[in-house]
Amino acid sequence: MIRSLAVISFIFLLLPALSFGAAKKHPPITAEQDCEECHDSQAQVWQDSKHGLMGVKCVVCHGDPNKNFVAKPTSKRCVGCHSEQVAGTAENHKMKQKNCWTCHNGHSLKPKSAKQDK
Amino acid sequence: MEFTRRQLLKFSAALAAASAIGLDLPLPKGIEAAEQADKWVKGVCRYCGAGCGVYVGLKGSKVVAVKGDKDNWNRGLLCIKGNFLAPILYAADRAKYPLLRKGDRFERISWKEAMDLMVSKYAESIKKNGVDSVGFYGSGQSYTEESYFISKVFKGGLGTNNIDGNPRLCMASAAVGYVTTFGKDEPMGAYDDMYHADCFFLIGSNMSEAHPVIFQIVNERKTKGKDVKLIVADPRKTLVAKKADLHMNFVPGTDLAILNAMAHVIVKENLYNKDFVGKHTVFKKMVNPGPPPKIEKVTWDDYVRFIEEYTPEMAEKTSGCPKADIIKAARWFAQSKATSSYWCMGLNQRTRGVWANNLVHNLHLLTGQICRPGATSFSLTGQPNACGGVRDGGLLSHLLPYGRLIANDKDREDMENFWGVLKGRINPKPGPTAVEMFRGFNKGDIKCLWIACTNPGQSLPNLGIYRKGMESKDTFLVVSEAYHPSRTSELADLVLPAALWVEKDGTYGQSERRYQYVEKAVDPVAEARPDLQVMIDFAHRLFKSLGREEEAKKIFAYKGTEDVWNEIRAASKGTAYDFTGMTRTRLKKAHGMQWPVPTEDHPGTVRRYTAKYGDVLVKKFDPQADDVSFYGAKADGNRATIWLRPHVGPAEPADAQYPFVLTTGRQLEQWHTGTMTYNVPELKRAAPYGFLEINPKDAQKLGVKTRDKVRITSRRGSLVMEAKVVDVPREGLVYASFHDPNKLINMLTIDAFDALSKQPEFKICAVRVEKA
Repeated sequence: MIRSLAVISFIFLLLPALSFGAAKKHPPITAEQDCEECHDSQAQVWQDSKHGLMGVKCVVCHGDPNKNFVAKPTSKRCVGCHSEQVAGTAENHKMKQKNCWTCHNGHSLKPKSAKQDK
Repeated sequence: MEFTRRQLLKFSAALAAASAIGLDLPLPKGIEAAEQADKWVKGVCRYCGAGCGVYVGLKGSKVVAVKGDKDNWNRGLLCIKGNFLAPILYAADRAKYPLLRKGDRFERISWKEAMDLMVSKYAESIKKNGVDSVGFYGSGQSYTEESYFISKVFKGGLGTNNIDGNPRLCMASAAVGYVTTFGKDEPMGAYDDMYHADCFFLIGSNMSEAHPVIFQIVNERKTKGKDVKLIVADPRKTLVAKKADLHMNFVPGTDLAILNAMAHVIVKENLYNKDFVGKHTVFKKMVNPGPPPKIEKVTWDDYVRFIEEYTPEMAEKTSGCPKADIIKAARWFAQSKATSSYWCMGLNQRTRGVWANNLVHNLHLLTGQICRPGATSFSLTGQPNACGGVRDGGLLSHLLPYGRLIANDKDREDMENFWGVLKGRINPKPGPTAVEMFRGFNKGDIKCLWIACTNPGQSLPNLGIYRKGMESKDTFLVVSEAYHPSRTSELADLVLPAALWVEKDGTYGQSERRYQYVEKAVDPVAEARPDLQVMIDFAHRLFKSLGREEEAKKIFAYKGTEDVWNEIRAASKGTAYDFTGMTRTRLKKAHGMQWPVPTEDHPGTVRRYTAKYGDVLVKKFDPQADDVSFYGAKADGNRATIWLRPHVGPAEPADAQYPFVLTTGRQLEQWHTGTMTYNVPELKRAAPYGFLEINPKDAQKLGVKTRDKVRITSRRGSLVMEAKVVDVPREGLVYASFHDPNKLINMLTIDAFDALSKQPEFKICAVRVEKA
């Protein structure tokens, strides 16, 4: 009983985590500004990747910095081409696979067994 | 709602704790788009002619997501545009109500008022000036049912061929190229050939931006395949050119010399396939351009004499492409196990577009690199249904459905009988083509024009003169559009709000003869209506006004798209297109079907003109053939034609006064005239506006750097754009896309067109560039 109460208390402590807040804001940028101007190293990693070659640009994951920016994208950004894999992570209620970036590096999208990048 | 990694960790801990006590916490909203959708509806991407299969995700009555169809040819992949399809339906500038021009503004009216006005204008004009005083300008973005039906109304019902469409601007040269070489339109091959080819010859195709999913497969083959060669012939160092084993860079408009020189090398080095040439080809040349052109059959020896002058040295001198590159390309083309060619607007949008198409086909016929897996001559397409609706369905002003021609007596009689209209109803004279139609509208020969699902106020060449015609008060312009204002609807007298993409159902046919059904997923926004519904309503009302109500009831007796589709299938029966077996039920289940599909148990045809690889129509049309038969060319004994087409340059080459060549094209993130893609914040961010690409050496001479404003001027117009100095266009060439509605690059382009296809030369005109 005491153990159960402790667990329930633990859950209540963590419940605020479920109130997922708005995405981190990006400073306003002009139409002329490219992501590369400030994020050169990330852009270079992306550019050299398969997604870079295919033109899956920054906006696919991060949105428009002025309108719907997402600092840390969720797997829903990957559904367009990788719906089965995304569904696989979503259906796994044990959350062993949390999202695409659990196993893939941020901007190269290579498996994490490959060389790390920013 | 977004979901950060930190929040995920917290939730994970909470979930683990909850599990320990038997609680079942729901997954947080927003974790994955797959969960946001309650239902997925099968469809096709709204954009280019690649025709990627998609699933449209619905939450209640709203489209919330799109994902690629893994069981379709695109293997679930989408390009950046396809990923962001959902927002196009909910753009702020969707046309929601019929609008009537009142001076400089538009006033909302009812559908009844709109249709009454439109019908009265058309009826009045027909009664006063005859049927050739009215017209229709359609689109490679309309569904097949829409294009077929409106073509029947005009050609079979009214008896006028004043009906053409925007595929005249993008792929008419490819269509006429196929017809003149093989007897019938459309490619013989399929995307599947990419998996079998070990040599890719790309000319006039920037597939890395215009057809990204196709590029992905080519790149995959290049990366993973053993000894796969990629040749790219293009005056720009596009991304695909940078990936190539051989980039053939040349002066724009000189590629006919290069193609003939490749044939020269193939013949001189004895790399041609004597058996194939002997069995399956004839030779022809045009002795008089006409009209009508006078054609003469010639011999192999005549052909060899013809290509004698096209030495690699001569081609290098003409084109600037090194002769070593030409020789290497010819050898790779001929000696590879299987060579596939791909081209697009770079060949088609030319005053010699048909000839350029013929010369690519020549290379395949000479080498026998055709009609087997990996060996094919393939025209890529710009719009999702230019092939299915406008080419195959016969909307263009010289066509009737499924390979039939207006100018052919028997074809007209066939369709008059099939449509149940009076003998002689179909006008034997082909109607005006796109540019000719707008010239006619300018002059007032055409007094009422209905434009549907396209934006010629931005996409026509030499735009300034045609925009003046469109805004004239002396004529009546109706525009059916999903967005308002577009650069065309802003000129209209009457705007009809159109249902868009999955707000209606219908059939799309993409580049590889694959027809796909797009299911209706949501209701149209506000008062928007499907174009087919408006067309059927218009036809009945107009015929009633003309005293032909009973006839309309008979020939336009449709309740919905499936009725029209069933008639379309019947119209294809017995033709080289035969897809009688492609029922709506089958299309709903299938991930596209490739015609011919002559029976309801036929699986579809991946490769045409080859019995060995599954084309059952070979035996029907050419029972004696053991494998390959170009049965569309019955008059030539089921043989394809190798053409003697000399090199001829562009209509307006660069000169001292206008020293640069301007070429126009596409950007990855934008599509057509941008009405859809500029409405997607992510795409607008990635490619916010049009710019002018300038070679660094030219920029240095001009004293221009990136982001400087430059004035670009042709004989027809002038425009200030931002410069992008980049080593992509060759020296002497500048490049701009045509997407940006605020930078109308077509004010500068030339409306000279190909004598055979009537397709304008968007790709080449002379300009001068100066710092603004």
